[in-house]
Amino acid sequence: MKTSAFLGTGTLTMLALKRDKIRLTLWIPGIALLLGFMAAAFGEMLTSDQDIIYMATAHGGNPVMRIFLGPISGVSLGGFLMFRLSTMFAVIIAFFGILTVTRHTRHNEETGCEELTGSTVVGRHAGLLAAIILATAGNILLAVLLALAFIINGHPVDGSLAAGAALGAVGIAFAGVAAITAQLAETTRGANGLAGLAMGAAFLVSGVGNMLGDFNPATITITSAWPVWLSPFGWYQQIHSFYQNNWWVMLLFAAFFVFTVQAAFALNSRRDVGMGIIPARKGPAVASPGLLSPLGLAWRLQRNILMVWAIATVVFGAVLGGATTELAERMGGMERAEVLGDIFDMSETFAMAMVAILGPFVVFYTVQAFLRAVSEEANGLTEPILATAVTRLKWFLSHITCFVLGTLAILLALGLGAAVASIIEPDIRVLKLLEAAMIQAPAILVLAGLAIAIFGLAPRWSPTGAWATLIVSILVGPFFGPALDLPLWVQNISPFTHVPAVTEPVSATPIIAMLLIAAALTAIGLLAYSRRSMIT
Amino acid sequence: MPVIEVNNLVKFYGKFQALDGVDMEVAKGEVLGFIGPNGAGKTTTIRILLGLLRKNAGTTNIFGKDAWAHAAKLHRSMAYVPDVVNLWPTLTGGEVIDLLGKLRGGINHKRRAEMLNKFELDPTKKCGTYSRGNRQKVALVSALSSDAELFIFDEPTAGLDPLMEAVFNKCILELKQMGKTVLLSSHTLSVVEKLCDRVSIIRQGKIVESGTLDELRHLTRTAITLETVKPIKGMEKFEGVHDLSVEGTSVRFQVESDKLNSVLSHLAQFEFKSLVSRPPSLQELFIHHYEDDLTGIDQRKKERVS
Repeated sequence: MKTSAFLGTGTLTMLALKRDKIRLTLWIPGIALLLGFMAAAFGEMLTSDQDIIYMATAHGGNPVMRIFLGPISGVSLGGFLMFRLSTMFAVIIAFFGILTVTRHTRHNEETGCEELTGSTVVGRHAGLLAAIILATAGNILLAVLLALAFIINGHPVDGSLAAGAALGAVGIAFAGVAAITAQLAETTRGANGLAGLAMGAAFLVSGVGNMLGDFNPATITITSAWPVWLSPFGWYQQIHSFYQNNWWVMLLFAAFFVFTVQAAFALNSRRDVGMGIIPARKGPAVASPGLLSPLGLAWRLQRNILMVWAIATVVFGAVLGGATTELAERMGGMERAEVLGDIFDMSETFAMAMVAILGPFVVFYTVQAFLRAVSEEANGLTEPILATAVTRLKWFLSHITCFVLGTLAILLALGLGAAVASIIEPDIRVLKLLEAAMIQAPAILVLAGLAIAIFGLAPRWSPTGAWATLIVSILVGPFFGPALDLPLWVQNISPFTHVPAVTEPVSATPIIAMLLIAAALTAIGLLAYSRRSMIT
Repeated sequence: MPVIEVNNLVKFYGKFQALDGVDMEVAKGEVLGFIGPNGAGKTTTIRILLGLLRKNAGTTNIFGKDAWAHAAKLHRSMAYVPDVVNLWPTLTGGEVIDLLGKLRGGINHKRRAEMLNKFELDPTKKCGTYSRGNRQKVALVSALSSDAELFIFDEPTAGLDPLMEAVFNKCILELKQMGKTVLLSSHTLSVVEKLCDRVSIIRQGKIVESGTLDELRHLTRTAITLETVKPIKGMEKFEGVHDLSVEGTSVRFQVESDKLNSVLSHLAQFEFKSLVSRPPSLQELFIHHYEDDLTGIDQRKKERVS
């Protein structure tokens, strides 16, 4: 590679930094602060080794929880925090790496900014390198701040540094992945989607590796199975910070980063500015009748998101369902086990509990699909539709129909995927698994209704509001709320707290109440949207 | 009943007043040119007429019905091409043309084929790969192949090359022959001049002039170049003469219409050899309208210096 290809990298890096001033000052300290607060909250709750051993055994001994939480490494508060919190942070940080790179590469090409800077004295790899430098530097800074967050909470310095570095490395690894996908896809959305897909696959692979691993009650450690070595999520966990502090694992990250960046430069040399490696195909000259309605258009715009989610959910559900018997055995022959505080003693209830843990995460699809609809207005694409004989109400209802039915379809896919369990274990009734999945719908629809209401009343706050309510609902809901020992009234804020537990008989009251609230919020949003001006 | 009837239209964006009492009337079969500089309120007016924005005061009726309350119903007989055409990057041009046509209430397939041909547009390409001009063509083809009664074009030729601009002009003249009503906003004055029956000039949210081109020209100057046998004298004493340059027996100047007679009478004594007079172009009308703006700026500058 000639150095002239990198000419102007410094200037472009400064430009990117200047553009991202506010974004970076929100993301980086924000993530570190969130970790600091959550670490402090756990620290206040787990005051003795006994507490840690109890919680670690309850959660780490459960193979399903391990998919989401990673391996546990010994009895220390730091080790427990990395076990309980790190996967969530790793996902957020991976997103941060991906979005930073695509924003300064493919997005610049899409908006034509690249053409403008490219016509000046700037080498063809300069923009890509600048984005990688920015993402890398950002993640290194983040790693330092995360380490500080641990140190300030009184954790050992060497472990804190290893933990910070482990999480920062995940961000850098996925920045490398995004550098490749930014070359492959022609749109920012496509590049983000491909990188997100890679992240989902990496998460699943390491999760399965941890699930199939062995829990050692004597040392409170988990020896993960081999698949974890195939995924960056597995690598950061295998550093076992606060326990072994395996710094050598960083070599894997370094090799992966060098490989992805080299591959990205190679791909970048083989394509024209504005084009992707995956070329845009031509399409039909005439629209099919199915497209020619507001609903048809909404479906067309949303179907890709739905397809990806449906496939991913079926796979996830099937992996879990298929492992049910295996998992039940790994519970150490225990007849009774605990998932999120619910005692169960049948493999059917066990399978239902797995579905119930996964179910609330379908709200991520709902919000993503909702924001897809909302982005139409920001991109000036509701204007051409509303300038025809289509009312605001009809336009919005078409999109709402798509993502509400999509939510139900994905929950159904989750239940059906998990139904693989009943092939292995005929005692498990498919209908019960579907029930465990579908019962999550009212809570998800409440959050959807809230997002719709915000969009109608205060459109500028729409994406922020939708994500904020989602994150709060997950954080104070059943997945984190009881573990954080939050007061009941705080937990009650989350609609997921009100979903009947799988061990209880289904009661209609909370379901009907949530459906009514969802309907009311949706009606408010629709009414407000019909009466307001376009924002662009 | 006029097709478009706007009275005392007021629109605020927060504290900024975008429209300050706009009045406008377009009769059936008329082509109205709607001109003004950037930020004068053209697009805001149009977006209110389409029911995309709420107004703060005034009336906006289309076919006698309120543009906001009856938006969707009215749009059955309206076709609109925005100034910046945004399209769905994953849909092809052909799909968008059909989609917008169908949502408007139907598309004329014969005209669709004709327009694709005229505008030389490849309908199989994804909108994400079209240039700005081609995206504009997609919107134009879709609008022009509809059976709408009222057509609203916002800066329709901004992205088109001169050849395509000529195609567009022909299409507008065809619409005119078919008795359709057209509202054409532009600052490409040549377009408006060729196509429009009447012109409304908007400035700082107010219509400052409205009328046929002839009516407007009455308010303005004629440009005259002439040569005489005898040397020209005494031109300086006339009021209403502008940009005067005298060189012996030839003179060039612009004269306000009401002073034309006295100036020409004066010049006649030097015996005309040749005379060229030209009605002011729209460009000149336009500049005339903004002149006080410019002098205003000059004056402010002077005040600051002194």
